[in-house]
Amino acid sequence: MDNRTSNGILAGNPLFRLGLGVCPALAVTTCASAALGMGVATACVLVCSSLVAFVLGKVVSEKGTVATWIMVTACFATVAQFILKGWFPELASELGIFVPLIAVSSLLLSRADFASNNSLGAAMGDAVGMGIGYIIAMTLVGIVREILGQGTLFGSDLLPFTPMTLVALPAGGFIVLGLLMGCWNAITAKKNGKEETQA
Amino acid sequence: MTDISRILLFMVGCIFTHNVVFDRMLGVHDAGQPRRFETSVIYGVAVCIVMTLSAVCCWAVQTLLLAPMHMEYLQIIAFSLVVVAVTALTQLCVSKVKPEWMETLDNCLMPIAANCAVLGIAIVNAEAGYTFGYALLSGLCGGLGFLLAIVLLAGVYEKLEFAKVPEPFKGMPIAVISAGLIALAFIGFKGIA
Amino acid sequence: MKLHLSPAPHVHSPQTTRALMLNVLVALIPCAIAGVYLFGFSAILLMLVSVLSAVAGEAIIQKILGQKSRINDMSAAVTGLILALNLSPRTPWWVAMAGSLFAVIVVKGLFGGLGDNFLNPALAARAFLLVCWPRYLTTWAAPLAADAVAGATPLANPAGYTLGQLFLGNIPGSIGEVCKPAILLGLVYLLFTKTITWQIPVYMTAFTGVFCALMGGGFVESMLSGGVLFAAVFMATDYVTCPMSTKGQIVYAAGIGLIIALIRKFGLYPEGVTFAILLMNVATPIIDRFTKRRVYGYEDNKKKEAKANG
Repeated sequence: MDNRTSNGILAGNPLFRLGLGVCPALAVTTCASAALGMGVATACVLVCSSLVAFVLGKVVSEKGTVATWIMVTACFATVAQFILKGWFPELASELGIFVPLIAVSSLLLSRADFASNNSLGAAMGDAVGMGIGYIIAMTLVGIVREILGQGTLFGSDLLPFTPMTLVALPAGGFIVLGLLMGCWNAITAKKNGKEETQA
Repeated sequence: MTDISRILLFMVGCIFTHNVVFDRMLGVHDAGQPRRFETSVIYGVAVCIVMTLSAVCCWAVQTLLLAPMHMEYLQIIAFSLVVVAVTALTQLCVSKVKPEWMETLDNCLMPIAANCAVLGIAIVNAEAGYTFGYALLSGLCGGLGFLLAIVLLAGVYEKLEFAKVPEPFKGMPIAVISAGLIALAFIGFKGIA
Repeated sequence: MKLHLSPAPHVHSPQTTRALMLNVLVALIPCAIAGVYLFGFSAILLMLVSVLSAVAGEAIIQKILGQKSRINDMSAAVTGLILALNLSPRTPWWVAMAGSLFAVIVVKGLFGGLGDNFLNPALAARAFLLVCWPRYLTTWAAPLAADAVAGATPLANPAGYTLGQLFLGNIPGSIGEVCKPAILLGLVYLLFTKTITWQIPVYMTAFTGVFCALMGGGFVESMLSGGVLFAAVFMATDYVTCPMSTKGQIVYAAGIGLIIALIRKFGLYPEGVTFAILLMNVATPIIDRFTKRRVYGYEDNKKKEAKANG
């Protein structure tokens, strides 16, 4: 696998390591399926917008970058909303305003910036890696919050104890995300340490 | 209930109960950036101004343009354009009126356009179908709520600067957990407005 | 070079921390005895589970994080006991355990242990439990009665109890908060040993009464019902999470009183003490910033500059 792609999944995971795209990771992760859906939608928009940003990067002046990227991502967010509303209306209503808000996702804007300053291969490798990393991270948060907060997983019951209502609320989302970030740091740090000692 | 008390309750609701950061979970990335206390205040005020203006402008675009012409599907693009334009305008005005603020904020307000709380509140207003007055109040109080959130977070971060936070949790993880604990305290406002 | 700077100047060494915490434990004894007398065996069980799991949780988190074990400073035991005294006597034991673990691990341990937390651990744990399992936390038992009798607290039924009952604690409520003479005994002990000063308990109780009265409640009744007095003595006074200067403490106490009154009058939750103190804990760094004596602020900035430059 391309080095940049694997970086986006593990050591440079956009959500757990870089803190990009946090808002949807808190808002729509109360159940795993919605989290997965949001992750996939964001990743698709990410790849498309990075490609366009790579092309436009040669034309746009330094000052107008943020504005340009927002307009590019807004167009793709609109397309994403059409697709979700047309084919997955239930998911679309679950995700609510966080589909339109893909337009100003910190993840997309920072990756668009990266794409415009790098080669096509690097830009695409980065976008794909970040996209997959984001899907994995979102799903993980969704799984943990659904099990603890509702006692179910992907909608099916598994009830070891009375669910913790807090986990399904915003406050619980923050706390679960923070704990997962810390664990992710501890795991990837250990892995990096091993690789260093081997080399 | 009188009009004044209804308006007051609406404002309290927007600032505390439905705080943009701790309840609506908007603009978390932006609010979570570590800043000094003074910078937080200035940044928060700038966000508040942009949020109020965009709420008003987006309301106008929605009711005068998109809704009558049945072009709601263009909402995301239109609102994004408005937010970017408002931010650029604010940047221009602030650099004329308060140049020392612009220095504190690295001479660029464009990150505010990328703060999803600004666009988020505009979309929330459109979906709730607020009248002009409520859209204005929602923008202003949403902005005040954001200001409150980043000021509280700045205070906590300054305390954390000397804390013996374990290595894997340093930086972002502990910041997110802190925000979560503040959000836990904010749950107490449930039911007020 | 690594400077060791600590945010609050209060905790000097493990020995003094231990002495202070022992004082608090002693001061809690009357409340614990009153709780056991009023609510029976279940109160003892809750206190034991809560204290043991807090201490065990602290030992485990310090082991995992590779820190020196500090359970000897007794702060975990105090957290566990205060949490138990804040629960309804009919709370299941595993709920108390979950609360204790949340307090020592998430609220305190991950921030670096005692002195680095910005919320009072026991209060944060109570809020956590209240939101997670509201059913267990708000099922009250009548005191001095057979197990199955449920009761309404004075907050839910203000007209049901006399002032004497409110004061003596012959009312449903949390284990430690109902019996006011026991709390006052603890307060006297804490003041006598100079563990705390009188400002926060007095101002907080008084402000609560005033604001509740302004919103249509009874002045004395609102001070004696719910957990106001217990929280004012044992939780709002936590060194780590309350402002340092007297002026700051008055602002802090007034804020708590106002929020309690607002939550009791308008909020979804019947009792606002927990959330009110937590919210003012969050505001404490800001309050400190504006009420610290000028000289300290000046020195502080100098230190930060020096740190940033070198």
